Amino acid sequence: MSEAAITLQSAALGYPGLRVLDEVDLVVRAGQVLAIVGDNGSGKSTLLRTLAGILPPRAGRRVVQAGLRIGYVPQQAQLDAVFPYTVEEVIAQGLARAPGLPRTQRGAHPAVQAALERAGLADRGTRRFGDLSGGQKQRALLARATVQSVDLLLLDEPTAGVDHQAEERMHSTLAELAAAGTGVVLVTHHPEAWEELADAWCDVIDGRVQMRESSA
Amino acid sequence: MIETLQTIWAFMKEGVIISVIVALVLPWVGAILLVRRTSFLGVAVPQFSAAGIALGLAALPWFPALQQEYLDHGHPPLEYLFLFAAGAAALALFAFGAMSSRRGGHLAEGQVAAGFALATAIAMIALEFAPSGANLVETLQRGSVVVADVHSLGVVAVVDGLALIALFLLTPAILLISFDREMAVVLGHRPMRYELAWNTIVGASVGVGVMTIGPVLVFGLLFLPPLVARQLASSMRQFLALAVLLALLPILLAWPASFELDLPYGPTATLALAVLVIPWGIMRILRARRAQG
Repeated sequence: MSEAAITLQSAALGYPGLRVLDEVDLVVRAGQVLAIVGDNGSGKSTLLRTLAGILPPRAGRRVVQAGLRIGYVPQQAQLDAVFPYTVEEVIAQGLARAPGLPRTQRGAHPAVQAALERAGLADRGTRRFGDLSGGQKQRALLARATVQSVDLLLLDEPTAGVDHQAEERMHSTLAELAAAGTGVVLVTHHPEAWEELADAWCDVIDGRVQMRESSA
Repeated sequence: MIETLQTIWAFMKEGVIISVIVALVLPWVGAILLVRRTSFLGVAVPQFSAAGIALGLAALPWFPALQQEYLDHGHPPLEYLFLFAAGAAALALFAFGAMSSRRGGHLAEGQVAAGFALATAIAMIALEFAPSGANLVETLQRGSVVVADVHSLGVVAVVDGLALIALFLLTPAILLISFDREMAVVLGHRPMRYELAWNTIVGASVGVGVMTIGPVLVFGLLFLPPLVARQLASSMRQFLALAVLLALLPILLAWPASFELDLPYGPTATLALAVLVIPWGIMRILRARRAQG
């Protein structure tokens, strides 16, 4: 069995004054494709944000493998189109790892151009991010998350609000990344769509999480 | 015309240079306020700066040496006023930031509006205790740039120079935490540090702007150029550059206009921004739409 990339130990997850999940014991293994499923408001995104380090656990521990590089893809709908970023500028944000300040937001960086091509957005680099379709935005955000190589990719409902074609493209891109050894953790409302790709499942029910291996 | 320009340069060159310096900083700050959807803060914060100045004037009797300087020169040392102006602005920003991050954050606009009313009331009452300061505040409200001498130019150059350096260095990070805070955290950044830096930049630049060119022109520079630039720019970099560039020409042209028409500089420059920038922007937008078919 591959080693643990991120571990949550007896963790309580939530926000100041609001516990969403209790007694969470969860191991995300390196190279694993883990799908988090559950009803609306069950705490799926809270779990993903805690795994990503965005929310600290309210109790318990989050242990991260030394040197683990995490990529994160938020829901595209939560990004405000009033920012006149180009697609290149959005992807270049992925180069801005701490420590130190973001090095550049220019699109001319070779890694940005390579990410644009991988995402099939080479002809959209100078377009405004806010003018893209939902599927194109999602591809751009995936390109941003992987503009530098990552060991583990966390995605919050990566196919929400996109058409069927864009959904299939997202599946095949994530399958390629997983085949190359990148771990994937994704939140979804449509478990049936990820049955082929996922090798582990995390059910979020009644404030608790339950792990199960894929039957596929 | 040449004679007018020569007269302006001979007698008001510090004011001209100050107006150019603040026109480099404030539209940049305003552009970021605009995309962070916090423009309403840009309306309230200068009012807090004005209240800070009024409080500083009311406190002068406790500092006899400073009061003497006020009597000699018509205004207290600008460093003293700046502490009050920038301090009040930064305090207001931190208070609004703390309130909006807690429960009731959806009431942020109402809280800022209430803060605006409170700041205005504090300014008026403080001036009751510092009647001699009323003239200075009125002059600032009119935007006459009268406190522009070599010393005030030095204060503005240092404060806005530091603000410009900070903006050059921190704008990408401030924009990243504003656009996608979660991604910024995953990349290892600490948003609170950048919020702290941002509040300091806004407090300092707005504070120094209010005490030199007055709140009216501060409002104008914060909002008019970025609003037009947002419509015209095709990238974030272009948006920030355009916001600053659009401000410079009206700011310079307003000097001969206010001199010839004998009007206070602040409102004249604000109108110049509106008269020159908005129609030009509308023209460019219409042309772009026509070109798109």
